[in-house]
Amino acid sequence: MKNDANRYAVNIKRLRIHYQTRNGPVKAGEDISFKVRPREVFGLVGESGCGKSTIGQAILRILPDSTRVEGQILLDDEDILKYKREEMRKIRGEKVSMIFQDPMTSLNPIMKVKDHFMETINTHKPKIKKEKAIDMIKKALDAVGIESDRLNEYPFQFSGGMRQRTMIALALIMDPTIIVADEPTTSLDVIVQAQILEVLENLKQSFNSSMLLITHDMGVVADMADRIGVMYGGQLVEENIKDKIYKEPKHPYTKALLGSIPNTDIKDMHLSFIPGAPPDLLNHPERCRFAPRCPKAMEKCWEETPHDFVMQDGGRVRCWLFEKESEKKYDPDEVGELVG
Amino acid sequence: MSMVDEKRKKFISYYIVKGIKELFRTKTGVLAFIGMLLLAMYIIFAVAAPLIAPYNPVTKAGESFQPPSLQHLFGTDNLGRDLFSRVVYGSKIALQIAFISVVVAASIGIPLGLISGYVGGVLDRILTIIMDALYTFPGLILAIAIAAVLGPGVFNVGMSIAVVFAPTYFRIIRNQVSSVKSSLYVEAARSIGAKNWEIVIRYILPNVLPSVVVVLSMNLADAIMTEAGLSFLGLGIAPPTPDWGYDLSNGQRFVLQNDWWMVLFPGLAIITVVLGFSFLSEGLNELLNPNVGDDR
Amino acid sequence: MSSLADILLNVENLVKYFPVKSNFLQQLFTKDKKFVHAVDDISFTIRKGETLGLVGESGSGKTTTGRLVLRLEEATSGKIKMGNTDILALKPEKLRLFRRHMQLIFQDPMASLNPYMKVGEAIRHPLSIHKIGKNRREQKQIVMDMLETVNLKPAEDFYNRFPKALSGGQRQRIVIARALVTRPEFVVADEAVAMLDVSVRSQLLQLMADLKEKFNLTYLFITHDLATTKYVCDRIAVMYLGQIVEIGSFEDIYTRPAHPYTQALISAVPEPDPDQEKNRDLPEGEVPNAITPPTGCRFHPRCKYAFKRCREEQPERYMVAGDHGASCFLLENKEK
Repeated sequence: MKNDANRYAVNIKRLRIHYQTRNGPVKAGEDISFKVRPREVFGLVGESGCGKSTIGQAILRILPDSTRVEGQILLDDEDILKYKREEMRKIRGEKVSMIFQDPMTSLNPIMKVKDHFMETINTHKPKIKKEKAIDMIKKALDAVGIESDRLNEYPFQFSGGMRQRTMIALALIMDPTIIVADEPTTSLDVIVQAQILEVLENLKQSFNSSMLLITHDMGVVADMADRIGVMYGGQLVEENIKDKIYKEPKHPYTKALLGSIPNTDIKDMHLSFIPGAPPDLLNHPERCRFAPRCPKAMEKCWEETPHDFVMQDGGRVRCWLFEKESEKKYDPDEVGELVG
Repeated sequence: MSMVDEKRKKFISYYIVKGIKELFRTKTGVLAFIGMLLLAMYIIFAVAAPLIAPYNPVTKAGESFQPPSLQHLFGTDNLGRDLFSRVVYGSKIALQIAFISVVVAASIGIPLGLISGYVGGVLDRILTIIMDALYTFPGLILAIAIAAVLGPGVFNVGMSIAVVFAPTYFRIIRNQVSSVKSSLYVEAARSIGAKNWEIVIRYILPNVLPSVVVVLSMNLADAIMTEAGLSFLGLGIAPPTPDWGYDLSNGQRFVLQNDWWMVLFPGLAIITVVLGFSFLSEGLNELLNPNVGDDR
Repeated sequence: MSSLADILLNVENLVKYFPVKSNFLQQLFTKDKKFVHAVDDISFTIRKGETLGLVGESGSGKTTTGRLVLRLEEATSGKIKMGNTDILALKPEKLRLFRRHMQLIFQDPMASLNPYMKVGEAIRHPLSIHKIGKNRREQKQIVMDMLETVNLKPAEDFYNRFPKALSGGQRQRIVIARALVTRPEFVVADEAVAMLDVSVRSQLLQLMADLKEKFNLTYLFITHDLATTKYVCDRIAVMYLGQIVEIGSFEDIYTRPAHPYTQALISAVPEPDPDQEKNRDLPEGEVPNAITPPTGCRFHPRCKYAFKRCREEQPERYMVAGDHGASCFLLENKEK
């Protein structure tokens, strides 16, 4: 019987993220729970301000000190929220790594590309022989499509797409358990974006890491992701395998979101929209976050935050409309089979 | 008192208390509060001098060289004048000069900075060179030179200090204008067909003025110091008008006699006023440019 | 075949080169000055009431084109005619007053509004500049009507707000209101929805389409996102490295793209559809710099069909059908 530790690369339980501002507390993340399996790509989608980037930063533990994070983040069955600074530093880059949105500013302009890699390798494997390190670097660069003779150049000599590839290579060189990719293609041109997505897809085949792909673009996750979690107003409102999310979306927000995305299908000229604007995470009353914009809102939705219901097809949805149909409420501690 | 008055009173004091609580949240806020108290004290001195000062500051009020006592809180100087009264009346002079010089400096520096920054080109280069030259010239020495030419008197001293500080305003405004000039809302103003002066006054000015506010209070502190320096050297306010710098200069002549009070109190006055303005400007800086991650 | 009377905007051989700032020593030792070939000889027309989408990636010159057409940037050479007016010949004062007929909707809703101006006043300002409305009260009424038109209700409430207090979508509506308050004939929308959330984007696209009908507007719709053009554009021009490589109706471009770059662009768009087998036929590399663009056809270094001629000569625009044309030698023999 496999134990929990081998089932999940990352297991997030009841994560709550608050920070204080001049105007009051901001609840960037509320009761977030989800699991990512080994070698799986989990897409976390939502619009700006929904809290998705904050989750990624929480996993890397790079949120500002004044932020309060509660709950558990189990990485290979260890709660990394309990790690001290030194322990966290050991695993950053090695067990969990990040790909940032802006490749222009994420690389150190005065360090050669090779040195970026050497720094990471030496931090985690200080005793490694130089030749072995170079081998590792070459393998990583090969996987992202950069010729190894460019190692001695500086970041400013690389184009935007190449810098992003370098970031990806840096993220996976130590073969981490999970890579958090925060809007990895958003600041790139369309064609370069497609190139990078191709790189990421190829990596899926050849590397063992899982990926948390954070993005607002549902086109980007349509190819890459195995499972998708939809975030709204600091909460995870729906989670399911990719196909079900696109073909049988449950939560009214998911449905509305899918309906409002422009596509290039010339036969589909209809563009629906969601009235209103995404909610302010400040001072949130206890109710369904989407109620003000939801075409199906009932009275209950305005009074109580919906529970996280598990559905028959294995998906979850945080919506009162599904209370009757659901099998049970989601329990983050329960060890169960993930569908898909 | 009517109901309306009662309510109104409650309203105002509520805001004052709220404002004070807000200030106390940060260390700088507390400093700003202290600064405001200090300044309030001196402003009261300046405005109500005749009511507060026990003696006439210009005439003999007692025996010369008397140390501080109940009769003469700060003692008397070499001519028997009450130092406490001189300090109180001195606030008036100090603050007057400080405000005149800063107002004149800003009135010269800000418009020139606006024009120079917006128009650019040769005009900008010329003005910048002139202003830079004035700016790099040691302030006190420049003030001395101008004061020597203009002569003593509140207005003249104010003007000499104003010339020294005008370049500061010019530089800040000009640099801000240069960057604001290329912002999108200025381009938007251009795209709707706004005339140049409209763009400068309605779109650029409100956006560059906040950076000057902080400097204003720091400048006031500088002005007081410069004025004290000028008077110390005998180029400022002529006696017998009570002036801290003059008293300081006068007092140091007698330091060897151990008449410490003649130097200490005018000196303290200068220092505390300057501190008051400095703390205030720190507080304003924080208010207008909130930084992320302060300790709370 | 469209009659000349129909055409509102006529752009011919438009060129814009930006000088590259080199340091003092470089200037001493090199004779040739370097230029960024931002817009290199483009020509197109827009008919009255039509929306032309201008699509391209970074470095394509699309944003510069929009600003050149409105003369917010001085062209290096070329002709721009709006109706009967030669835009490039207007003297500064006449140009300023002519602006009531041609407006710009900016990309960044926060940055394009003066933080110290109430949004109602920001919308009223064009009216006072162009002396529309007898007095302040009448102008204010026009602004209120405009606020209602862009769905910011209650108008009275929004008039006195500052941009800081509004959401991105609301701010963009203010920008649109300000642009349309003088009833311009021609509007350039420069990435008007790019910085908005997805759920708000479609609202604004719908609004822009409605306003187009209501005010009989002619749009130049600049975007990097091909998918958004579908809802607002009648015709699309695709730009690459300062040139128009293909132009046609939106149906032509979507269903029968003729230029290899356009084809690549379409295949690269991430579709929100998990079933679509992504057969991404992507060109290698990235957009080269515009200071030393490739010789001949600018796309040739990345084009899988490139042959010798592509390196040496610049292709003209070959018409594939009706109004649909692309600049590619592959089409030379297919020209009808």
